[in-house]
Amino acid sequence: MYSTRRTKRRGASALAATATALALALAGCGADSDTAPPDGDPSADRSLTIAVQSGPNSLDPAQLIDGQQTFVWSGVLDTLLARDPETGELIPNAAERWEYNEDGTLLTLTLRDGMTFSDGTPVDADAVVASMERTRETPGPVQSKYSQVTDVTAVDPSTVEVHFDSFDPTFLSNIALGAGAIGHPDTLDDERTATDPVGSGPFELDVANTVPDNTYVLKKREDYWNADAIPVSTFTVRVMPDPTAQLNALQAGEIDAGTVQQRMLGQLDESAFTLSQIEANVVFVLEILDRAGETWPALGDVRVRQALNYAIDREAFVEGLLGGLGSPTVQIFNPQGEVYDPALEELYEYDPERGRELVEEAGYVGESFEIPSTFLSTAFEPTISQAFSDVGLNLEWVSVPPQQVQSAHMSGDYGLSFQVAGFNSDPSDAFSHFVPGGFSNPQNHSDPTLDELFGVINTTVDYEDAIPTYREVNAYAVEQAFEVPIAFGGTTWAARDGITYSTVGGLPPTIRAFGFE
Amino acid sequence: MTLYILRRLAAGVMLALVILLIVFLLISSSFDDTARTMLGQGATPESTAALVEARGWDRPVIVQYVEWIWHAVQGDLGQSAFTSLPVRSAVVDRLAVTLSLIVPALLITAILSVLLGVWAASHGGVIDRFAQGISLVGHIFPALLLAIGLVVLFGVELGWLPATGYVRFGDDTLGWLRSITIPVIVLVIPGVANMSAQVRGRMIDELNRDYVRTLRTRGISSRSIVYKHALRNAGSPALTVMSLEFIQMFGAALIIENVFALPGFGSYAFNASLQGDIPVILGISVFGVALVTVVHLVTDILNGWLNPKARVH
Amino acid sequence: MSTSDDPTTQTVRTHSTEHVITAGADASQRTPTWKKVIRDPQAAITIGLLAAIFLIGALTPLIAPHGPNDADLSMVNAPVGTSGYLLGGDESGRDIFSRLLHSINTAAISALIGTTVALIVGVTGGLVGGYFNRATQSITEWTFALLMTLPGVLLLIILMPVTGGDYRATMFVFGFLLAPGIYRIVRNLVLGVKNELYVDAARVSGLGNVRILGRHVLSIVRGPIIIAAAFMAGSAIAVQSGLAFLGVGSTEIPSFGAMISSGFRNLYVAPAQFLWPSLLLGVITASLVLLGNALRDTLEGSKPKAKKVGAGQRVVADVERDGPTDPDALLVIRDLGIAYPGVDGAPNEVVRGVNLSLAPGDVLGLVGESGSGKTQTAFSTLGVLPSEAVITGGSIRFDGRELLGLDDTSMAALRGSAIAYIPQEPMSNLDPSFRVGSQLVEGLRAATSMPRKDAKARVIALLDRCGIVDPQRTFDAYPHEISGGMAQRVLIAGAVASRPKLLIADEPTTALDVTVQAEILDLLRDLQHELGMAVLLVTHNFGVVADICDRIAVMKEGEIVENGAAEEIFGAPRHEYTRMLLGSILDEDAVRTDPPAAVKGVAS
Repeated sequence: MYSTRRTKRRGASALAATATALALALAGCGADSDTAPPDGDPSADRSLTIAVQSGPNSLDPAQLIDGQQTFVWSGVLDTLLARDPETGELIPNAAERWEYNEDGTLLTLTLRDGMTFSDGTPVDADAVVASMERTRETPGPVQSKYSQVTDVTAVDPSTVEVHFDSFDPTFLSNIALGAGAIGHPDTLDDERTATDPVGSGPFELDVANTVPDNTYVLKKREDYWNADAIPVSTFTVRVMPDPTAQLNALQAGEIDAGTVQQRMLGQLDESAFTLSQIEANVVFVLEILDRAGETWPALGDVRVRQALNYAIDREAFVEGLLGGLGSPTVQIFNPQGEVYDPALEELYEYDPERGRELVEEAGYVGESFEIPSTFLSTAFEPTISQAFSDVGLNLEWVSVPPQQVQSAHMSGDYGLSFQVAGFNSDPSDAFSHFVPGGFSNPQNHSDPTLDELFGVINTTVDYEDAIPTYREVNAYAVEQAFEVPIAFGGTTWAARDGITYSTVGGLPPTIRAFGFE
Repeated sequence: MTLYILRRLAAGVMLALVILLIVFLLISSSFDDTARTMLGQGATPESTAALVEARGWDRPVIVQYVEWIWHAVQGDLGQSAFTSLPVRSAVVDRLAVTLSLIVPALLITAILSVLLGVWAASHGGVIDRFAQGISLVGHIFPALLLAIGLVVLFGVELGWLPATGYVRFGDDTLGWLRSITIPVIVLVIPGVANMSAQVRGRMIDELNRDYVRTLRTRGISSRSIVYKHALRNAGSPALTVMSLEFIQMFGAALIIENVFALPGFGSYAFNASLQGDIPVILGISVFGVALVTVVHLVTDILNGWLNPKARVH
Repeated sequence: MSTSDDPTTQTVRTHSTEHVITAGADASQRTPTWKKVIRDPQAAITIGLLAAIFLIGALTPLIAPHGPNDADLSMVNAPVGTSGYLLGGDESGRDIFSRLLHSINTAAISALIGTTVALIVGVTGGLVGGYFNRATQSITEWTFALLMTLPGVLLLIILMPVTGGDYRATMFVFGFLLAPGIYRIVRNLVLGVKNELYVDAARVSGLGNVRILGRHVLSIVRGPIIIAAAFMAGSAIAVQSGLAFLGVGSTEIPSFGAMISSGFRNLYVAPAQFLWPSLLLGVITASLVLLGNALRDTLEGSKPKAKKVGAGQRVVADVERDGPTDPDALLVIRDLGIAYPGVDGAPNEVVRGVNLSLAPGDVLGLVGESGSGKTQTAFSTLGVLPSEAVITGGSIRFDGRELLGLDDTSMAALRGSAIAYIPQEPMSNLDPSFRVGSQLVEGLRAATSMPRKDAKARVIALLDRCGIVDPQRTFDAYPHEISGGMAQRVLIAGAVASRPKLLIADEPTTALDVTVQAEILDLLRDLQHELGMAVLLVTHNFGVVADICDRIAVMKEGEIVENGAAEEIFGAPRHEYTRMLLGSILDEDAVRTDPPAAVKGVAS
């Protein structure tokens, strides 16, 4: 969740900041190992060109950003773990096995044998330790994922020990993302590491044909340990922030696959393209930042928060603004995950009358709020404002320039914030939404019930055992209306006939999601 | 002449220094925002402060200014805060793309505008109204709609020209030509609408001047009067308009670059500004000033060639 | 963004003396400015259109069926004509018609802020820079040069953190970027009038600087500024829309740019959404540009229209080709009438029934005040009347050949070789972009098809003959490098180079210093004797005529009032007008009474 939301929005995307465009840009997609080519390796001369809305900021392991940027960096850098595209579960990747000690303060990773960097150096424990230590110490978007890590050591060439201050329930899912990328230990601090690192991943960057921020050409490494799972020999990623440009390129045959906005689907000749839909990649959510009501007492009143949940016509939101690709929800957890509870969806049926009653009961009729207006929110602002006035509240959108969006969200100047949040993993999503200091809870709201539940989670090392507690967190948060989730948003991939894209929603997008018929 | 150019360049350097200082002062309040954006959702006050310190953004602005200039003098414009790409080479690459759109577009605009403007001014009547009509349509008709129309027709339906992307001139000259064709057309149309009206106006002014009558009384042909005498005199103000058009085209190119997915200067500047990528913004400011200085210098030199009064000795 | 005229490129028309002062034009001098503007169809239509649009904008709260941000999810992309949604709904279910109306106000406010800031900054800077001493001037000059070099849109984008993307703040900054255009206009005008007599006079009479600026200068710069304001308003609206299109600023603010951007995203679903705001924006900006052009025409004196170069003079009457000829006369003008279209469209005769006759080698003085039609008579003989002029009747015979009705090619063959011309203002009658010599050589070769080398030799010899001290140097000089007296000698050399039979000299000495006048007249007389040319000397000054003319014709209000030998007229003037002109030789002393050229266009 943290990952995708941080996706760098290019200026151009402000040009096209719409619901679907965002859903696309923010979408996380996973690998599908089933599409490994049959015998005879037809990938030998197969190439694939796709379009994404934003290119990778940097290929430096300490500066990686998830979301669509993953296509490129995950081609060049291998991660320690991966996610099962069918279930979203963690699966081995560079690390064959992992194991926690009893209180979760020591994680032992066992690396696969025989892995090499593109220059032939082995990918071993030293490389992993060097990468992790460096990321932990380098200011950047990945650093915060190492906040609980105290030390990383190599026990032997294939064993790495990660020491924690205290158990971090989100760490495993993080090392299936940028935090688990393995860089070349000798060149990590060289200048090239940002643009042309010596890679551990399945591809090498074809620097001569790559135009940073515009076109990335990746050539398959035959010596990659899992080369058989890579279906193409050349993988080209073109950056096209403008969705219309993507559609044009797709129709002109200049790219093989790209995401298409729901409203533009009608333009595609369906006989010539294969469409793959991911139902839920992101959640559109009106976040209540001042849940304690310290600055805006109304927001501290559960009745007002619930009223807001009643105020929004989620069905109409999906149909009208998302073009029908998505589904209404009152929860922020991935519907394909284990924490999501369909039964909760019955709460907060659209009922502005009820909402108004609650606001009246709480005595906050006519109360006004300010909320940052950003490239994320523009297309939804009228609808949300309308919902506020329907229950007797006022909402004023304050224009915030893109470079101040992050600051505005964290500043404490606003009680509300509209976000289009990608999924990460259930634990990460739980932490970022409800734990004090999490991205969605920057004003450090705490609640005895939540404290207690997270107390349990923080001491339950086995995830399976913790799931019921996560569900309690979810149920309690929905009941308390700590946030106003609106809808899940999906993504449609269109590809030249014969190319498919399949994954469950919310996984990091990589080349392995593509299948060839 | 050399001295004159040197003096002008020196003035350009002064201008760059002043503008840089202004930019430095203006963005000095946004260092924290940039750091927070760089850190993303995991940003905390501590990590933000640490990053600001690591980048040296906590030092006095004037120190950073001087230091930046010191590095710039040595050819180092720093690296993007976000992508770590060297600013200088990135700007040069991006500028090459945009210039390869704008320069052909400007030349074509100039040629068409002169033809149309001179034609209208020296023929009058139906031809003049036709030219004014073209200019009016070019003003009203949205270039963006034209861009999409051309892409769909030639890129998607007919497949004659690429719908997106940029081919470097050095890689494949024909491919380059194909990749810039539609963008250039889209830039040319509003350009001609504006410029041809200007040329027409200048030409009419010139054709009504006393010296034109006097030249006619000496039996000099209409052709010589229009194309040699009036056009040359109209050329100098038209050139000034063109230099401003050139600078304005950077703004127009920004939109074109997005629609055609071209890695140009405009979108680079726009993105850097959206992200608050401070080193890139500084680099762009310097290149922007350099560009403008050179354009004005070239304009003045050309003006001197056209207009003896403006000539430097 | 590139569609707007740039105000920095407006030049102030300061050139040439107008010879045509018609009764109609006199009337229009008294017409209030606003009436003149309203009478111009282009101005009237664009003003009407803009007024209608902005009035509708102002009435938006009353007419708009919905608020600009009222969203109804059931109306997302509603088609045109949906009940209550005249132009349909947009991607968020907002009423496009209502948003369009509200966008008009955003555009109006943008134009207002941008233009006001530009005017305040530019006018202040221009007054200061133009009026005060050099030091002040170079500071303002540098500042505005700096402002002008900034690439506008890029700068506004870079300044987003400062402006916060608010369109009003952005337009405030943009106003500064527009200011150099105004600055230049004001400064140039101020410099132009600074040393004019009446400012000097004001200074002498003890008016303070501020009052001088206020009283005289501001009244003069008003016209050009109004024109520039129209262009700047167009620029401001276009730039605001461009930025909104790019997503700078809040989409809560309804604006054409935001609507175009939204329509663009929906282009494949509902193309009309893109069309409405684009069209309205196009109409507004184009109207402003056209209005600016129309204002320039009406306020800065009638802007000449495009016309066919070399179309020849228009003759509406049948010309009697085979009429009686006078074998002794070189030039015979009979019953000549010339008319110009008046303000109300009806022809306005400026020359009526003029009869003149000139024998070979004779010198005829055509005398009259400004506007008497003498210059028109001269031009019609040369075939260079302005295209608006119409010859309403009569005949001009030169060397037995009827000139009226000849096409321009045939006239061009006569001009230069058989009939030559010396203009009044020496400086404005040389092409500033070409060397003096090359202009003369080109004319000589056009008239005689002489080889270039011979032509050059003859021109240099003539320059020498015309009293130029270093002919080669003058030959190689540009017009701005020589003095007015020298320029007049050059023009005389150019006129006589091809040994014409008839020389038409239009006030050849009027623009010159008194000392130079005499020399030029001497030169003319000598050349006339040497070459045996006939000379038609057009002048308002009897002093000049007395020196040189054999015969004199006196013209008043388009008619010849007296005609006879020089001695007769001087000795016994019959017409009262002639006596009046003769009487004024003493006190007038050859200084024209026209207002300064720079002022004339805008003061009316």
